[in-house]
Amino acid sequence: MNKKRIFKYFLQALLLIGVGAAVFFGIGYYGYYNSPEYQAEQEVESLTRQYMEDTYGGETPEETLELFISALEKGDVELASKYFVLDKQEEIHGYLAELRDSNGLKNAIVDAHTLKLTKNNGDRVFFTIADENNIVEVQLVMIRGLNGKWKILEL
Amino acid sequence: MENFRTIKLLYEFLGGGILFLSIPLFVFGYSDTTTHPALTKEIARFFNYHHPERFLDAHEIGLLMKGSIDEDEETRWLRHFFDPVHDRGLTILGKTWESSKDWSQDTLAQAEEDGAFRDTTYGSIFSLFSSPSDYSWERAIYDYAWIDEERGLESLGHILHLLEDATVPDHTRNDPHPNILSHSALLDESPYESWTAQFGVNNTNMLEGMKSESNKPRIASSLNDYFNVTANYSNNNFFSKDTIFDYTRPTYSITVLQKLSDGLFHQFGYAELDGIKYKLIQLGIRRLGGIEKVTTIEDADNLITADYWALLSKEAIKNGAGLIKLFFDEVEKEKQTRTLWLKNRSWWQKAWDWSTSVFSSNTVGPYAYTAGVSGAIQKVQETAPPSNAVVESAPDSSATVPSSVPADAEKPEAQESLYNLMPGNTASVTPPSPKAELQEATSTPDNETAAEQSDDIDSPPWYLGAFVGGGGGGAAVSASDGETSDTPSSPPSLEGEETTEVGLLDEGSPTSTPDETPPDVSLTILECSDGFSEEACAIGTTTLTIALDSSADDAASYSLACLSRQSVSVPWAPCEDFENPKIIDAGMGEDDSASASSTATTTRARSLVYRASSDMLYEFRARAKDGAGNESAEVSQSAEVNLLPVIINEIAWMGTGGSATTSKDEWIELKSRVIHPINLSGWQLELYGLQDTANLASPMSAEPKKIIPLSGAIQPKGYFLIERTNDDTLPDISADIVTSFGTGLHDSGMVIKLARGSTIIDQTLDCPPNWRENTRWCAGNKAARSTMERVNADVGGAEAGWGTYYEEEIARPYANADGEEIFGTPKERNSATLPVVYGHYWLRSDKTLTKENSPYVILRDGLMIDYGASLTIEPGVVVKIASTYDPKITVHGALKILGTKEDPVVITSIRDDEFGGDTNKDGICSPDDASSTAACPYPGSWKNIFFDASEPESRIVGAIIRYGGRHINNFSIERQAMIVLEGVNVSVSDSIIEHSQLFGIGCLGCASTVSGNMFRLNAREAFVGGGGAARVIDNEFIKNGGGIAGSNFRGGEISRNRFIENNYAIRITNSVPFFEGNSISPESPGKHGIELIGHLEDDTFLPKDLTYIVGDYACYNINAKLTIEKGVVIKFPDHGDMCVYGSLVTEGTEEEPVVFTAFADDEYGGDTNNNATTSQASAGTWSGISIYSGPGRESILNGAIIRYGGGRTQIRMGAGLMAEASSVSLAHSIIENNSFRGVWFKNSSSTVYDTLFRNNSGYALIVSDNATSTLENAVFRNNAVGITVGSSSHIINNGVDIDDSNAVKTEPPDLFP
Repeated sequence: MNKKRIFKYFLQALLLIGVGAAVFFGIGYYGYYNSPEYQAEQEVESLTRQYMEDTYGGETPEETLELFISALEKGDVELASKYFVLDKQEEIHGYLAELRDSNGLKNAIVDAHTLKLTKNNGDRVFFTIADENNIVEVQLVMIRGLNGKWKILEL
Repeated sequence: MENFRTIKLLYEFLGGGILFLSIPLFVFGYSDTTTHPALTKEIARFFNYHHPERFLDAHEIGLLMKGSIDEDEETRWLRHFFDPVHDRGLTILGKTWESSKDWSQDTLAQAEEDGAFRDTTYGSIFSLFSSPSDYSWERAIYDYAWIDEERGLESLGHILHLLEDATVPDHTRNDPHPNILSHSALLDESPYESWTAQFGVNNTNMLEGMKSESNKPRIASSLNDYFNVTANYSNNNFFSKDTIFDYTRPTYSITVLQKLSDGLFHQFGYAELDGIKYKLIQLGIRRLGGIEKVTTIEDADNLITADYWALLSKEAIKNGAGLIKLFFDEVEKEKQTRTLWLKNRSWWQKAWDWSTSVFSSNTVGPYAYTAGVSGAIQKVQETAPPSNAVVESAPDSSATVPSSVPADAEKPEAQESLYNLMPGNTASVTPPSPKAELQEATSTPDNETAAEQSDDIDSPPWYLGAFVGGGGGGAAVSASDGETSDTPSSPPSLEGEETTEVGLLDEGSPTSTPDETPPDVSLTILECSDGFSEEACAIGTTTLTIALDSSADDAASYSLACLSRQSVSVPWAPCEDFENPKIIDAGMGEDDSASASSTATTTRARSLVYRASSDMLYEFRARAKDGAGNESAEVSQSAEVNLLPVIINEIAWMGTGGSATTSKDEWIELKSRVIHPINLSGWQLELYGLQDTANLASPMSAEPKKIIPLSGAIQPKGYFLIERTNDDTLPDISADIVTSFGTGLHDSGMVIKLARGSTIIDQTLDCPPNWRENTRWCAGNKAARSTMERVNADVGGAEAGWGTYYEEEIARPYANADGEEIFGTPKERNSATLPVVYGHYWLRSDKTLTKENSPYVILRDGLMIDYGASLTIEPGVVVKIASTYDPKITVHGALKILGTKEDPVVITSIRDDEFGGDTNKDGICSPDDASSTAACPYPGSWKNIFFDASEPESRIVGAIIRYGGRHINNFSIERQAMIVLEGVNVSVSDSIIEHSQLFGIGCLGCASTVSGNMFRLNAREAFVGGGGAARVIDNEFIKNGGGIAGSNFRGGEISRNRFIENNYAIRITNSVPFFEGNSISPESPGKHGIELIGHLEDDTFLPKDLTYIVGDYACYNINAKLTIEKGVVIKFPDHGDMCVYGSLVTEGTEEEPVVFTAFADDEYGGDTNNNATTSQASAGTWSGISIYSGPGRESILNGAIIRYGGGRTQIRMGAGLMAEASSVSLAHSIIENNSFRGVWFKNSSSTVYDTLFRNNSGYALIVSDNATSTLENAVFRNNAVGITVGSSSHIINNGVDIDDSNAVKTEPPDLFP
């Protein structure tokens, strides 16, 4: 058996290994990119991006509240809902639109002007409206976002 | 060269294998920052406190913590959810992940985390427990027992992580915000997880508090039990941020105003759990700009989450510590049985084991693999010696196992090491006896000694639960005897317990004198003495103390069974966690000194605590057995357990009218929820009002403004009416109590509490101000004088809900003192409980309609079952639908109608008094009574049940559905049916579908099975189908406008249906489903057969069934291949014909020919035209069969009879059978009584074999236009003309029999010289 023949078989073996590797890697990556786990991760990454790129909101809680009130006073419920955290926006938009359509937006504006910052827990603040007996009847929770903007969390 | 090739192949094989093993892992970067390590550490400390015999040192605890941290790596967190209500894992983004309960036990799924394909390689190519990513339960036990104790503990840490997550409501209520978002450090995370993140390893110390509260590790018999218990605890008792309304539980029982650090008062709803009240939710707040009430678990001081943590963290620790105990028990069991050791082995290893057993002469040890590869495990278990022997002989098994398996080298040493640590094998540990456990389970003061012992870490309390023999009972028995402590736990069956008992008897039996006197036994539920009924044991607590005693000195054991049921109408079933009777040691053989510390009245007395459920009936049954085996007679004690026996049901706070008198005619209605009468002596109503009635925001008074003492009895499930001042408040109804309401029920709002002694049983809610109605009452309307009604009688707190009286199409029969209508339901069911969904028409969550609460009403807006929601209707339920507008039931989710023949579910009109009584209160419908004013139902009273994209579990079983199917002009006919199945496969079975204004069931592209139903008196067709492949089988159709009508019914089936007096039976267009065994009663009008209309585009098989009536005014076109089964009779109406553009195949025989004949021909297929003998078929009644197949297709008519065809005019150029430019084979057939032509082959190639042409009034056979026909054994009799052959055509005569009975034998006459 000469060296040339040995070298030829060696190359064939390498080729087979290479093809095998490509097939296995290909199937593995295909399975990975189609896995539910990958989809979930993508969804999370997408959400993260959306939160990071969400520029609606003020540098302070009071500033966000002012922006929110300003949007309400313009009747722009689309804009007003953008001052909420992302996954609340659709729900809040529906609520505010309903108020607008039933002439209830003015009540919301009156309420919003009445809100007072009553509790500051650092990254989470509470605005409230209380009645004459100091019983809380409206509570608005605001939270500092990843990008430093203050967003309304709960209404 | 040959050798070289071998080397080459080996080289490639090895190369491929290396490649296969080097598939890259897909790593995702996630880290855990939660409280898991802290909780895990506390779990380990709590375990150590109760189990010093297996003390976990700091290194071992560190391993557990490491596992609990690592479990959040990569995408493992997607499997950290377990919703016990729906038994599912995380369900989000259109995908459901495996639940944490399953994930913790799914070795192969965890192995798949190791990389693609790995789940298929472990357990086959590789050992099952060898994946580096597998931290499953069995892997943990296997590793600890055989391979690597440290990895075993690390895996256990992973599982503790999952169990800890099961105490997080977000994880058990499918609230995915926390994981997706908190793992990404995003906003809107769970307030609970966010707040509890502050608890770390260095600032968490819960052990001391739990010691002082005498908490103990929870004992369960399996990992599943731990997950179920833990997850149910958090799901049922706590909210997560976004699932407050998603589940029926929890509910709050009281509301409290509390001043927080912001200086403001916040309203909290409290719930109670094991006697501890905790803040469940913040209430009383409204949305900005609105009046809608909202709730939240966020408060400024995090008081709600703090309360949650206080309870849930303890639950995690109690269950986690119990789980560690179970783990070590399972490890010990594994060392004895080697079950996982065997399960671990790969195919290769099993093959090696098998081959070793075959070829080795030294395979007689206890683990010889004599059953081959597949049967190895079972065989070993069958032949294994007793467990003690196993421990000693296990090392011998290595002789049969390849030396390359490292497990064998380590196994004996590890086994011995752990063995020495187990209870009973260490001199310093003396486990207490089962009797001591029973004493500890009692709650009498004498137990203080045992309780004190439990506080002493040097003298730990016994770890088992209350019941010897339940769950870990086997372990309890074995632990009482150090010699047998390695015996596997007994199964929790009565038989198993009796085996244990025999052991006790053998040991303790003092005498051989025969004893045939059975012991006596007494059984008492102690709480019954404080029951609320004088007639039976009916109690308002879920903690039942079962006391057993016997005066017999030799009583050795008690057998206690527990049965339960929800109502008297269902049979008894074993209680939860009480599947088999518990065997309780009565302490036979112990002297008085030994029982000196007993808590009981006699030395044989035992008491057990059972946690019951509310709204249940229980029966405990007990027997005693003495040492000689004599058994007492059975004694029993029943109890009705109900935490809410009586409720405040309706309040007329606004009075009954507008006059000075009636405006003060207030009344309150109570309702019993139990099956025993309740004596209300000692009960009272407490009325709390606003401190300032002029200010709706004013707090409620702390003290009641009026207390109304109650007396008398409220009957089972009955009502109790309290009228103000006099009995004229409701002149038509007698009050149970007439009393002063003090200053009355203030319109500004009140809270009413129902109390028994000092215990509040029920209360109305303190609702926020309703500025529009100017009241704090939760419901009711002063202007309309509509009462405030309880919506849900089955629950207390906010979930009970309150609504305002509203009834639709229901008469109001009662009057007030001024003779005006009462807008309320005194002593009757509340109007608010009638609708399937109160307040709106969407059903957005799962709901079950019960017979007990039947009938239900669907109002004018109908009912919409939302996607993902499910409505289940139990047997016996009646649902009535209003007539106003076009109410219908639309099913996007699931509708499960589950009636039975005996107890059907009825869906009908609100006017229908035949089922569910006179719901609309206008009297009983009497159509024959002219003076009756009661409304009666009519077909089309309501619209339909419309299944549209319904979920797979939808079905209709055992229902009676009637008076719907309202006619809507612009809908297709299928959508106008009473039940519409559009694109679904909802089954409808064993039901009655009747009195529809139009159609019964409409199937639009459905694949439903409709079976065993009765369709009757529907104005139009009972079943109409358009497309799809429905199966309509075994139904009965009685007096409908029609039976079954369908088009494009491909792939479906219509079989074994009975048609009685319908206008017609079956009419199918453009398709032929499978037919079989259908029948039509003789008295039925119309055509007695199956009508086939239109054309066929697909290859079709026409089976033998009823006579087919083919064709209408147009030719029945066959554009594909039609194959006709033997015995089929096809009849054609006048001028009817069949045009074959595909091919025609008949499979007739001499006995069962395929017959093509006239509609009026009764000789075959009976009297299809249903006119007895008034009409007779004659030649040319129908036109005939025309074949235009063209080249490449052949029609084969075997065993066919074609008669009375040919048409009535020459214009049609008719023939019984005509083929043009086609290929036809005609064999074993009869062509008879046709006009003009029997058979006509034009420009065709044909063969005629063994065929009789007779009595044809024209030409029997014509061959023309360049046609060729081969005749063999063709017989011609009594025809006008026998054979005619055109000049361009010819016949090959292989046998023609034509005699002088034919008027003209051939044309030309010299055809056969």
